[in-house]
Amino acid sequence: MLNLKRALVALTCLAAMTAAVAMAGPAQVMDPGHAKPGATKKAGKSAATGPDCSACHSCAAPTHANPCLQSCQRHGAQFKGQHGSSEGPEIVIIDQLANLYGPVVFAHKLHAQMSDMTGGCTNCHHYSPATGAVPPCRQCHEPTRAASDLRQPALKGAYHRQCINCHLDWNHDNACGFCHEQAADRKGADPKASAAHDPTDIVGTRHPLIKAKPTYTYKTTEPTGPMVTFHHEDHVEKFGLRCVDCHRGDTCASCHDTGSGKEKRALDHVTTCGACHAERNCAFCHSGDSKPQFDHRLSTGWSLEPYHARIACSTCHGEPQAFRTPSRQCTSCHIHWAEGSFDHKLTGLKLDDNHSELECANCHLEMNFAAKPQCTDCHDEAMFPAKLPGSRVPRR
Amino acid sequence: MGSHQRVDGNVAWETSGPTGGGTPPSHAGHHERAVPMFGHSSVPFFTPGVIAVAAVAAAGLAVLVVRLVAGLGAVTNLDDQYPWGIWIGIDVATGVALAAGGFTTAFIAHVLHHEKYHVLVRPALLTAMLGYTFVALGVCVDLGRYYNIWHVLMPSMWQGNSALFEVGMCVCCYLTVLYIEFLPIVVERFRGRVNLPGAMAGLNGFVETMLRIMDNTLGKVMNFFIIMGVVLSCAHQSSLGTLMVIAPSKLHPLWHTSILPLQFLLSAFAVGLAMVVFESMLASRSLKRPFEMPVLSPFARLIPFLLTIYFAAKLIDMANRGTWQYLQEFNLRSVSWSIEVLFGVLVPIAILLSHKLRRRPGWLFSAAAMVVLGVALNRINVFIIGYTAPFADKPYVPAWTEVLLTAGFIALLVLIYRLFIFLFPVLPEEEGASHA
Amino acid sequence: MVTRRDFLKLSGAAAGTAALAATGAVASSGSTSKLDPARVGVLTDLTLCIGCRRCEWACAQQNQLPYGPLESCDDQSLLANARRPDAEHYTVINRYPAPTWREQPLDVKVQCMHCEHPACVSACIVGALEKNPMGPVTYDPWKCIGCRYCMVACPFQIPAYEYHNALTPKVMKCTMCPERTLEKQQLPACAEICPREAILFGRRDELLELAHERLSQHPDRYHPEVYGEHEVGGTSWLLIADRPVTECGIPELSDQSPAALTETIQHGIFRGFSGPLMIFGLLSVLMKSSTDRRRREDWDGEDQRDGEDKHG
Repeated sequence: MLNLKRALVALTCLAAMTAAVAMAGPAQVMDPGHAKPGATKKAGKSAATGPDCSACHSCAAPTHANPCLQSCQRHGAQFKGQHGSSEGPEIVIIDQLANLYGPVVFAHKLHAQMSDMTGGCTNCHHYSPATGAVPPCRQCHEPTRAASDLRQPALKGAYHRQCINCHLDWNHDNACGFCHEQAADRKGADPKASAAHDPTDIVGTRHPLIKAKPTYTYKTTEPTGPMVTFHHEDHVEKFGLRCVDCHRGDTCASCHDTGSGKEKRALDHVTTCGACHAERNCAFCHSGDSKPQFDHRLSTGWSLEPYHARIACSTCHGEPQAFRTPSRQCTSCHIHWAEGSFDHKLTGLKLDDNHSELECANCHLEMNFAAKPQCTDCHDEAMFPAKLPGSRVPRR
Repeated sequence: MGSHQRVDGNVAWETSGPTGGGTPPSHAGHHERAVPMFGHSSVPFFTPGVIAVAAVAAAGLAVLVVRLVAGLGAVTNLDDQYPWGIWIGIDVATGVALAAGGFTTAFIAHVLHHEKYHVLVRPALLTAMLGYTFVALGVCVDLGRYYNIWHVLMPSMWQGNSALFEVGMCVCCYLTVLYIEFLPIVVERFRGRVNLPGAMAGLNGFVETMLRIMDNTLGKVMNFFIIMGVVLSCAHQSSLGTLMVIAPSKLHPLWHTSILPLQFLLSAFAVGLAMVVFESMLASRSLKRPFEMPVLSPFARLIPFLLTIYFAAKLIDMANRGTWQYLQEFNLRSVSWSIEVLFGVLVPIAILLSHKLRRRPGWLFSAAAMVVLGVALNRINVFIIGYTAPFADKPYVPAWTEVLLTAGFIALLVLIYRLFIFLFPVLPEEEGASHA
Repeated sequence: MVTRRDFLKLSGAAAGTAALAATGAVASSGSTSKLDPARVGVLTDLTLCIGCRRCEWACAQQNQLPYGPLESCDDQSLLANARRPDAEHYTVINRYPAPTWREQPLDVKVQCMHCEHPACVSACIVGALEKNPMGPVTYDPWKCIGCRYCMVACPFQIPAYEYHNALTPKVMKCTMCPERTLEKQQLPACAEICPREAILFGRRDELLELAHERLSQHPDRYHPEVYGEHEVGGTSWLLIADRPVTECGIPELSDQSPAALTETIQHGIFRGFSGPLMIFGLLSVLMKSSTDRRRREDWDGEDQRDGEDKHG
């Protein structure tokens, strides 16, 4: 067990699944379901579905006085079923015990596929008869914990021993929220994060929240512009891209690989960045140095401060995949704006009495509000912004 | 001041009292009739020094108020690692040791009948009585739930396994015994002179009768209480040592031993006598009287023998457990142990064994003071310096408020002691002024 | 004058006391016998602990102690602080780094060990602390006088004190939840919430058996020692781990209860008050003989002093 981590490093985290079996239950599964009368009923029920007594008892008619228990190894030997990873359920929702924490949405198939690479189903299903269905954990592990049977963990203990063994190895985070859904009414959960985060986004099944860096810089072999700066946060938060929009086809191992030999994936320009930035040239991404974040004013000459910075890009530009450039005319969006009803104070400039009488187009030629207002029609030397047609007021 | 010459049965007493401090009558011819200092001493009660001491006492009482209102945490540096500080180490443990003069003197004067030393009995008794009173007060101040102190006396809550219970019970009983032993002095002071003021004057006759009855009965039972006092003292002086035996992993091996109770008892014998010498000379100095050298010098002759036994117990134990190796290290513990033994035991033995030095007041006083401070340091070592809190991130250093309260209590004790010797016949009448 | 004879008497009294102490040391205390054979205990398998600190939270809820919300347990940074139980925490978990990169760090739960022969109970002056024959060491604040001798006595330095409570300070320590375990057949709060059943509650003898079973079945995974089986005369709370727990903040202690020695001394001296009575008798004889001697001396006129004895 000491070289548990070495195995981890050398192979993949999946190797730890083997360890899980060994660690999870330190002793034999003694007398499963025989500890309490209630459990006996359950055992009887399961007997109808076919687990054979000989798995634990060496004689045909075990009695309480002489149970003739045989050494009940937890290891693979007890898994007699012939199931492939594909036969199991896709997702198992573990909610029998939800109390302080919400249920766990367990990506069973994913874990089964990972297990296939090491010990198979037996990594977790340490007991299963040769015929019939694989018994669920709760068939043997009681949902309530009793002091009477010290050797067999109850359901909660059994789950946590299984899961945390591996999870603790490749990710030292023991926070409960990693697996458990946060109960909705509990304080402390970030409502914004949970609203924005779709846990099925990446792999099509539920996945815990991934904390990505805001910005990634890559050093490429491109001679003219080796540095590629990717502002991940901008793409997710500002541009509203979903994970799968870019991470399409990623495998588990592309992230869950703590091996030392991890290599950066060469990016497929066409299918990832090119999907949106097809018409751009190389210098759009590649440069000699890292690039700053996208700035609407610098790139388009249109400052979003202060009001437009508050709205999502898609409000004006549509969905990122179907990007469109809106008109620069304010009234193309602000359709209810009209002369006489527009309060010029909103712009931070309160017009004086003389100017408030004027038409918009007297200063904003051709109603182009993006361009600098013109004063020369009326004034000889006065020029905005050296002289103002009113007074500055704080913008709301 | 009324006659001290009385006839009781067929025995003529010319003494300090019927049973003065449990004193069977002493011989006449010496200048040892005890008198109150008021009217017998030219020294006033209040002197600049006394006022300074009173100021310290007042400051200590102010700390006491804060402790009662805001809790132990507000005035002490005690924490979960160091549950006991100087209030236990000094006020209680050292206080009990230094009050040992009462029972050791009683043993020599009354049990062994060395009449010569009767002159020392009353001051020693007063010291013990006040000392133990302040030990009890000191304990109460340190107790988190001081108002539950009576629980110790409830048979339903007796806990015979606890060394502290033994200490508590013995101190309670011994304090009572000390008060009873002191009663004759009070009786002597007031008998024949009861003159209650105002409306209470009607009770004069009754009180006088009570005093007479007490005077007559106390003498008959006093021997019992004297022996009782010695037994109780031996018991709790040793049990005080047992207290820290329960913490073998915390008390430094230089002090932790299963014979710690024996060592405490032996050192109490020695320090009791030394304390009598020490305070007799202090009192003489304060009252501007000549030192009682003719009594003190022979009395002090006992101290080196007792110290030697104590030292032997320490040395044999040390050799037995091999703890001398800790002295090879140089740290607070080894230094403190060395000071305790060198200046508290060995040097005083050397001085007091010398017939010549014993008769010189300066040497005698120094030696007695060294024994007193040495045993005090031993108690502080056992309870504070030698105590290692296993998970402490910083050592215990008493807060200034802790020190102030301890100093205040000692000051208060000194004040009350002075008040008592001025009010009651404790100290012998000065030579030359004697009626005898 | 003090004669040599008198001095011998004096030292004789001291020797008598010493002899009593020595006699007592031979006698055994034997006070563990009142423990129930079916007494309960707790086994912490530290190899299973992941330092999630849910036990701290559950403990605080059970005992009405202040604690942050459940999520505050997710803060792992506290684990490195080598915290100690205090007046607001009956139990804490500390993390000790893995000795080599191949191993996991060890998370160590610290709480009252509920000794079989507890020093605190032996020390308590009024019996406010008691060893329940069924296992838990219980505390009755109503009896307590606040002397804090229990804190001095505890070899694990567990009891904490409410120093800033001026009127009703309490000694604070793990209770083993007797109100749950002994009255309602529930698990202690910490054991119940523990996600991996690293904290097992049950009969002490069965836990001990289970612990040894794990040690022998997985010698690669455990340090072959059940801490608390013998330490300080045994504790109700047992620990197993992948390394000696004494390297991880649990004190290394002898197999003898610290209380055994003091109780032996106490009972040796005071059994049936034989010690005090002996001294009392010795002193009475001494007093009588010295009185007689003085009277003889007076009659013989050898002594020049003219005092008289009241027994005369």
